[in-house]
Amino acid sequence: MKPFSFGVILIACVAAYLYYIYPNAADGRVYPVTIAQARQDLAKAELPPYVFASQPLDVTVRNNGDTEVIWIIRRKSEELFRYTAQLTAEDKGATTRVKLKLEGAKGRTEDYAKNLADNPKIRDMYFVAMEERVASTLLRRPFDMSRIHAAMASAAVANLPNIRKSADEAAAASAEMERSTIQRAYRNEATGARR
Amino acid sequence: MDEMAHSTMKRIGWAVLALAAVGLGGCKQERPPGVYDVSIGEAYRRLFADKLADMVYAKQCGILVHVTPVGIPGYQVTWRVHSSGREVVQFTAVLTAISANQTKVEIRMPPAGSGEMYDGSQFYKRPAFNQPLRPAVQEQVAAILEGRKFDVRNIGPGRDKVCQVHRAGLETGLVFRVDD
Repeated sequence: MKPFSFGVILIACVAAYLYYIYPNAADGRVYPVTIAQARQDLAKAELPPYVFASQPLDVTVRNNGDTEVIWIIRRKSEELFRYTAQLTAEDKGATTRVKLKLEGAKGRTEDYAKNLADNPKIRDMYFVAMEERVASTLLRRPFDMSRIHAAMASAAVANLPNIRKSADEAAAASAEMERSTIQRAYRNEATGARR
Repeated sequence: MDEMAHSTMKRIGWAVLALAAVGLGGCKQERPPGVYDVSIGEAYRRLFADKLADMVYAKQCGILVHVTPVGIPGYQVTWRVHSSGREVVQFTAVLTAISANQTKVEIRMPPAGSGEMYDGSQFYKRPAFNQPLRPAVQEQVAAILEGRKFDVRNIGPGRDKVCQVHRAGLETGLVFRVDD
């Protein structure tokens, strides 16, 4: 066999192996549980930790028929986005393929679908984190932060201008709060109130 | 030959003088420190009308302080600082007319120990201001007389740890009293 042909075959084998061990996320992932078990477990799954930072969010989990679990994420009653896990039984029902979808909502105050589309790194992080939540739930293992570190780092870099803006706003808000606390102390003193 | 050299030197001398004059003409004249482009009357009016709120906010510690300006028109303004009815410090701006439109301002702080009050080396159980205070007073006076905002970046950080702790308390609503 010529060295060139050997090289081509080697590369093809590596590609096939990589395709096998890293299946296309769009095809979903297969878990060794029945579809009923998957539906039941996922209905109890919470949002991934840390990813949504300080935003207080409400999550509603809904089963849509036997084949979909939907997490609807809201803030102040306004839907921001939703995850949908589409479940398909495989291997004669012994395993379940889970395809996860993330869709932004067109909320009352903002178009979150557009926000997600405009910030693909953030979107990827939300997606990867929820995929890990699904995997850890169905494989009955703890949530593994190391599996989302890369997506988080990438999102953090993409989000640096917003982080800086947010930090500036937080600093300004903090300074304003301190100033108003001191002003209140002077007002209390003027009216004779102590401490 | 000697005469020629002398003439050349003379020409060079004039050229240097001319260049120096042009150079100096191009420069904006720097004001000496503490001198402001306002008449003494205007300087007095502005300083006497000001209770130094920005400086107080920037430098105050944990006790509530009230600043009262008292003055001798055309000569000086003294700011008396009270807390819980007790005078805790005072400082004075002494004005001297340099010209019709220029006034020199000298800040005087009361002496304390081998230095002056709030010079950075004093200890106060209930400090009114972070130390050193003089740069903050100078900056506040400059801001008033230059018609600009007080800029905390011009005064450097405070060094009084007691003050910093009290200030943190005040910012969270814990007011100290000078007679606590």
